[in-house]
Order: sequence, then C-alpha cells, then structure tokens
Amino acid sequence: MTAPAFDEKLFITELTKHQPALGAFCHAQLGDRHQAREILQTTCVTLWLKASEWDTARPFLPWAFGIARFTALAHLRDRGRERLIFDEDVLASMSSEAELAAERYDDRLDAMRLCLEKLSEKDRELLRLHYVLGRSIKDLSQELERGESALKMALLRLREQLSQCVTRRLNHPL
Amino acid sequence: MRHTTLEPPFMNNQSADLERRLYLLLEAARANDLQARGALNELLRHDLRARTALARLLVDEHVLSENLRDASISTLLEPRADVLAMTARKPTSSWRQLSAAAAGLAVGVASASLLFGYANVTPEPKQIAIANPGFESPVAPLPKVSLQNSEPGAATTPK
Repeated sequence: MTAPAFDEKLFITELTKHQPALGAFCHAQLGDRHQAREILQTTCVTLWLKASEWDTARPFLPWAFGIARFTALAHLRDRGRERLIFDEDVLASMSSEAELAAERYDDRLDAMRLCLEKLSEKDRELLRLHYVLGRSIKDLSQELERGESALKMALLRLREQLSQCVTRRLNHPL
Repeated sequence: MRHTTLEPPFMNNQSADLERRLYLLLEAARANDLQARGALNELLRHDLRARTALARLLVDEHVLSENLRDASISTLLEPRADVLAMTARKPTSSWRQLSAAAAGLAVGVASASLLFGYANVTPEPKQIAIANPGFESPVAPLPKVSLQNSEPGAATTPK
C-alpha cells in the first residue's frame, strides 16, 4: 500500500485521536456493531490512501466523517438489504445527526462512565454480557433463568436510566 | 471537544416515549423482524426528532460497550486482594520448597550411592590355568619312573 507524501506524524496523531469517534459514527450509521467495525477498518484504509487530500488547515474529524459516510453507503449498496437495519435514504439522512452525536464522543464517554458507576454490579454485568460479549436475550434468558420479556424490559429500563443520566451530565457538567 | 449546545432534554414523557419506541423497534429489527424494520425506517424517514434520538441512542450504545469493555480489562489487570496475599506469602513458601528439594536431593544421592556400592561388590577372581598344559600340548607327558631298586646315579629307562 503506497501512501502519497503527507505529514505522516500529524495524520497518525489525528487518526488515533479521533478513531473512537469514527467508530461511534459508523455504529450510528449502521446500527450493527460487527458491520460498524468492518466499515471503520475500510474507512481507516481509505483515509490513509487519501491522506494527501486532507487540508491540514481544516479539522480532521469532519473530513474523516465524510469518508466514513461514503464507505457506509458503498457497503449498503454492496450488501443490498441483506441483514441491514437501515434503508439507503434513511442512512444518508441520519448522517448529520450521527456526526453531531459522535462529535461529543469524549464527553459522552466520561458521562457514561460516571453513570455506569451508579448502577449495581448485577446490572452492569447484564449490560456487559449483552453489549460487550454480544450474548442474545434468548441465551441470557436460559442462563439466568429469567423470562425473555423480563430481560428485554430490564435492558430497556437500564438504557433509559443511562440515557437520562448522560443527558443530564452533558447539559450540566460538573 | 466541548460544545455549548445543550442535549435535548429527555425528562419529558414525549421524548421518553419516542426513545422507548425507537429502542424496541431497533431491537426487533436486529432480531430480523421485517415488519419492525419497515416501521423503524418509515419513522426515521419522516421524523427529524426520531433521527436525532436514534443517532444519539446508537452513539451511546457504542460508548456504553466501550466503557464496559475498558472496565472488564481493568478488572482483569487489577491486582486482587487474594492474589496479593498469595504473593506476600511467596518468599516463605519458596524457601520451604527449596529446603524440601535440597533434603530430597541429599537423601536421593545417599540412596543411590548405597545401591551403587552394593551392586558393584568386586567378585572373587577366577583362576584360569593358563600354565597347565592339556592333551593338545606338544610336550609329551613325562614317563612314570619307579624309584624302587634303582641305584643312585643309574639311568632310568622306560619299561
């Protein structure tokens, strides 16, 4: 892979700094963490190949979001409707909102960390099993010997609590 | 990256209902419910508030999993009290292990020496008559001579 001449140090610094926000943007565009990871990888390769096109006088993140947006659209066209959550027009119309939310990645990360500390160990473990390890509701229902509906509602309530807490913290930072 | 714009408040019932509806439709669409998928896309297509809310919901989901993953890694790397206690006992236990190993080695060497000494007792040497000629010896056996009635100095002749 031959990259054109550019300020490699600056580019790598910016990419490393903003990669988590790019990951969040990809997740918001596709609604699926596996596909989002795939898109993030492709986006990073494309960013490297197009590094010479980046105007260093302008912020890195909007430029990177633009490339991620095109990568997600191309992915959607390649896959058709196979196991995708959003239609093409919806994905395109959601990109501005996804950018706005992902721009505040660092603030959201800090707020979420503080909000998670307020939950019980048991609730955090349930969230970890579902959102980090990717265990399905059905699996968890069998393992924890709880009804699927009860688990769905428990997860919904936890997400609502966290969402309200994060919003409060973002609006009233300490 | 600090922004001055405020997040839309989620304290009112209308926003909470919208967020709940989006969450349920999203989870159903993820579970391959095509009807839910269609309803979700339709809602997002026509409602800016829904798009904003879902984008935020998904970014928060990503942030949530990143936080939980980091916490899991920290827990794995964090020295635990019981592990620390084991580590604190380690010098004594390793000294005892070394002493036991040295004693075992000494006993082993002594036993091996005894066994070796017993097994290698020098046997009595067998005498091999290499100077005793047999039948195949080229030297003929000497004739028996009767010394009776013979005078001293007389030649002995075979009978």
